[in-house]
Amino acid sequence: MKLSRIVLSVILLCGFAQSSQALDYPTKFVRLIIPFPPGGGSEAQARTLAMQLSKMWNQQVIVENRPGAGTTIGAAYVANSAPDGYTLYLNSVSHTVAASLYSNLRYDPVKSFTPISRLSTSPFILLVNPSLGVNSMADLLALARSKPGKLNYGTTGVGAGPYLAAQMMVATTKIDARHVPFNGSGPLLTAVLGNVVDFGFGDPSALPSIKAGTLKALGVTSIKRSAILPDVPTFDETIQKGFDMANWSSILAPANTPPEIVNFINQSIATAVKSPEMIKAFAAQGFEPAPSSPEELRELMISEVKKYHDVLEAAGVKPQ
Amino acid sequence: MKPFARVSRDHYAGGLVALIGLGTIAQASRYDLGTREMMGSGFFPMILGSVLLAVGVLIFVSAGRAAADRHEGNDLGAPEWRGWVCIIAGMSLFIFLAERRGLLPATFACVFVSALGDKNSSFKSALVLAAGMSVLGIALFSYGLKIPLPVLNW
Amino acid sequence: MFATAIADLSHGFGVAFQPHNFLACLVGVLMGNLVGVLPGMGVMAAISILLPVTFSMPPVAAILMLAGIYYGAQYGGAICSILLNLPCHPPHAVTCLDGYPLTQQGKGGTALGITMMASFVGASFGITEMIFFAPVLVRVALKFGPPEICSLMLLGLLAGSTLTRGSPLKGVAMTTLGLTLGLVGSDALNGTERFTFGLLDLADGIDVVALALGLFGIAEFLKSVNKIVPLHASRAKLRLRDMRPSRADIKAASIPMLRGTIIGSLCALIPGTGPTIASFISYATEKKLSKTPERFGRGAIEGVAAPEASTHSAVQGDFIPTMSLGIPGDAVMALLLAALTIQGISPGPQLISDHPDIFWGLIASFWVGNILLVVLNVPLIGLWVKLLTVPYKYLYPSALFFVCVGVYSTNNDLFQVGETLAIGIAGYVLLTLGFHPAPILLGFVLGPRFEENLRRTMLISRGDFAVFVERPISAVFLALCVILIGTQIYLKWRKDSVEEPSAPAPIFDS
Repeated sequence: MKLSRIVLSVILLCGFAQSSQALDYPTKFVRLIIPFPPGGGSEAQARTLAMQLSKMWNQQVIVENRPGAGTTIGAAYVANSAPDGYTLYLNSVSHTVAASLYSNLRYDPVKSFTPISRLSTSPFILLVNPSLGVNSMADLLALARSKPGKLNYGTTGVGAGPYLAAQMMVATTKIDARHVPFNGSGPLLTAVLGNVVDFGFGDPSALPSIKAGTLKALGVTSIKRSAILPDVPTFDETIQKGFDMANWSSILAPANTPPEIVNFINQSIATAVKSPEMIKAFAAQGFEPAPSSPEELRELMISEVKKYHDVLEAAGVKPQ
Repeated sequence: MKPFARVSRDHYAGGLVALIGLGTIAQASRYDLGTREMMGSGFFPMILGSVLLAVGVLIFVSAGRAAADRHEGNDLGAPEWRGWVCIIAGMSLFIFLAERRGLLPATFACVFVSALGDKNSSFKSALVLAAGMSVLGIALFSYGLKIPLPVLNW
Repeated sequence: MFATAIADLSHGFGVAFQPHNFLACLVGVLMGNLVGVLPGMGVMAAISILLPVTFSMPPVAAILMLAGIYYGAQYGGAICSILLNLPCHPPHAVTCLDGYPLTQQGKGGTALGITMMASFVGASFGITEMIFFAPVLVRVALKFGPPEICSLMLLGLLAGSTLTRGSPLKGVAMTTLGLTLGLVGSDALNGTERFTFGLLDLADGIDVVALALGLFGIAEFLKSVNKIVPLHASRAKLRLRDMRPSRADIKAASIPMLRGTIIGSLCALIPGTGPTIASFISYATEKKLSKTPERFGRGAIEGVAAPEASTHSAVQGDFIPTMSLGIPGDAVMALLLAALTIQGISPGPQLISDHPDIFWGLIASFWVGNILLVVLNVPLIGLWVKLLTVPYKYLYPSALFFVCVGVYSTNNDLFQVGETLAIGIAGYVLLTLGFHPAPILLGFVLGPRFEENLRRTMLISRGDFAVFVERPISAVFLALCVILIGTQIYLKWRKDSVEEPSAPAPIFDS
């Protein structure tokens, strides 16, 4: 037991010789906050990452759920935590959307945080029930135009990523269809499966149903085709050049976290996402690993905050 | 119907429900009512507020008539200030201390203060109970179930 | 189909009885049971705490253990509800209605014994249903669109209003109050924040655990402090003989148990709220069918048996859409599926064919786990009942502390402990004014679903109410609503006309 510990630490030390010699981190357990309830959005991602980091650092990384108010409760909690690298934050695209949905935020979505690394990306997916009888985006648009105001489409709820993708699509194609919001991706998938709505905007949790043939994917919203659905064309191909809207998760820390710690964690994440366990777990959920530098992440956050602000403004959603 | 010989429990009950109904209606009127096809955020609250108001009035009106008040001898009883204050204070202390000072002092304060609310408990018995629960609570929740609260943060 | 199901099931038992899987199941139900006993420590908290432990386990053992925690906690939760009137799940609030009066009469052990039986019967039926009818049930479940959900919720709400003792008006008032409390938070359809008074902490609404423990726990402590002495004296004289359910008790409980089971399995088709709505409807059904409805709320054994059976049947039924569609019905199911994806297995329609070990092993383990739970709990009943001999001056401060930590652990949020306190004080006021808190919980749980689906129905039907009677399943539920209201009015009318001559003598209760 003791011997294996020593061997393990030696291996780890070799792997991170540069950083861990200079850096006394982590010396105690690290908390990874996720702004979703247990079982929600990023649970599996956070848990697999925490497991890998725990192994690499030889320190516990504990996942803590701080759900509420469209991820803003968890974000506020992290923003007010000590910037010592012992409180990390795993967030999703909702983090950059929340800035335009809530007017009374107790933090700034970019300035209150130190970006560390992007973690993964995943597309949103346009889904139909096979019984609708459409096989392509062109079919669907033709159907919608032949019956203006008659089709219904579902999303996972106002303000969520799929909703934004839907707003962007409706605005671009100028189709006239009725929006019916659902509460999360489970109810949305059930609604498309049960023909409650004609088409729906979901996330990769629809993947198993697509593979089983009970749902049909007509398009993905990311700019490039997704590795999880290589045969499904992008909106960029079928609707409008430059259509880009994807979910991404990232790891942030409170503002003013020391750069050496940020770099250390950034490198650890880059290594962790290459581990077979993470590759397998990400694939099962339909996420693509997408680590980045802290600077890239900051730029992404700034541009996304602006993008969703514009989309929501165009859709007439006012901040609360 | 009897005259208002005394204000019965159900008068208060009906009044309270009606009041909550009014409050709900007032708050609901600040939200968009929408149309039947596209109901707004205020539609359903408005209905609920109206139902509460109506039911409250009905309870109030039928209050003196039925003897329901006295059934099962459920009197309002004498106020139990000592118990109330201690329970509320104990729980408030937990809320105040748990994240700032840790689970251990929060547990101790919560159990100790709330235990003082019982007329039969002495300072000493409350102390013993609080100490015991602190040990049990820390063992169970901090070490066993790994509740994310610091044990001691003084 | 049946033959293959039996063959698959026997394969499943083979999987479930492999030593490490059996052990995982045992640990799971044991942990679930113990955590379930702690007031407020919900299943969610227990599962998410133990989730990291399962990473290093093989997928089958991991899912068996986590599922074991889920249904084990249901057994445990009944114990606190019956003995201490502390329900941490809405379904158990119904069990309190008659379970706690039974305890006060010194029959807490009987109630627990019947609960164990009812749980086992309900669960067994739910499992059987899962084995043979899962594909059919999934098709039926997909037919439950917004109008059907709406009508069923309405039925549940009506049933709930009539289920407590005392004036039906007060029941309606509390159900409506619950519905109103359910409005707090972001509007599910357009994100508008309602009744939050600018507090971001309320944007997701009031927490159900905070509501349940505030109304039942804190309110009860405020009511009982320094007033419980006479009752305590009677509790001390517990005899072992009183703890075992008598033959008469079992006879009285058996038919309600079966009815509850069937209601539970039907309600399981509505993911998420299945157990809650099932327990309320089955309780209301028993009260309606009983020749002596006045006993309900005063310690009727049927009032414990039926809702417990239906809860457990619905709990097992919850796994049907989760496992066969890969779509989680509620948060706990989502967590179980997350556990699978962490293991690199994507749950979905192909799970049964791709990973028969997991699916059939899980089903077989349900039975193994339920038997283990009964075996574990029956001898423990005596021990649990001993809890009642603890003087109240020690009991309530300890329980108060458990409530605090339990509520905190559901979301790691102290604000919700404050919520519990505020709700408790309000609940105490309601208690002293003769209101019963159980319908509040029902309204609270069903309210948001009802409103959302009403609005969705109107969006989809373009504002046409006829859709509710045109869709057959919805029409049946609405017809039941009409019958329910009709009998209520008829009974009231008949009672009034009988009572008229002897009006001066006060007649209590409905």
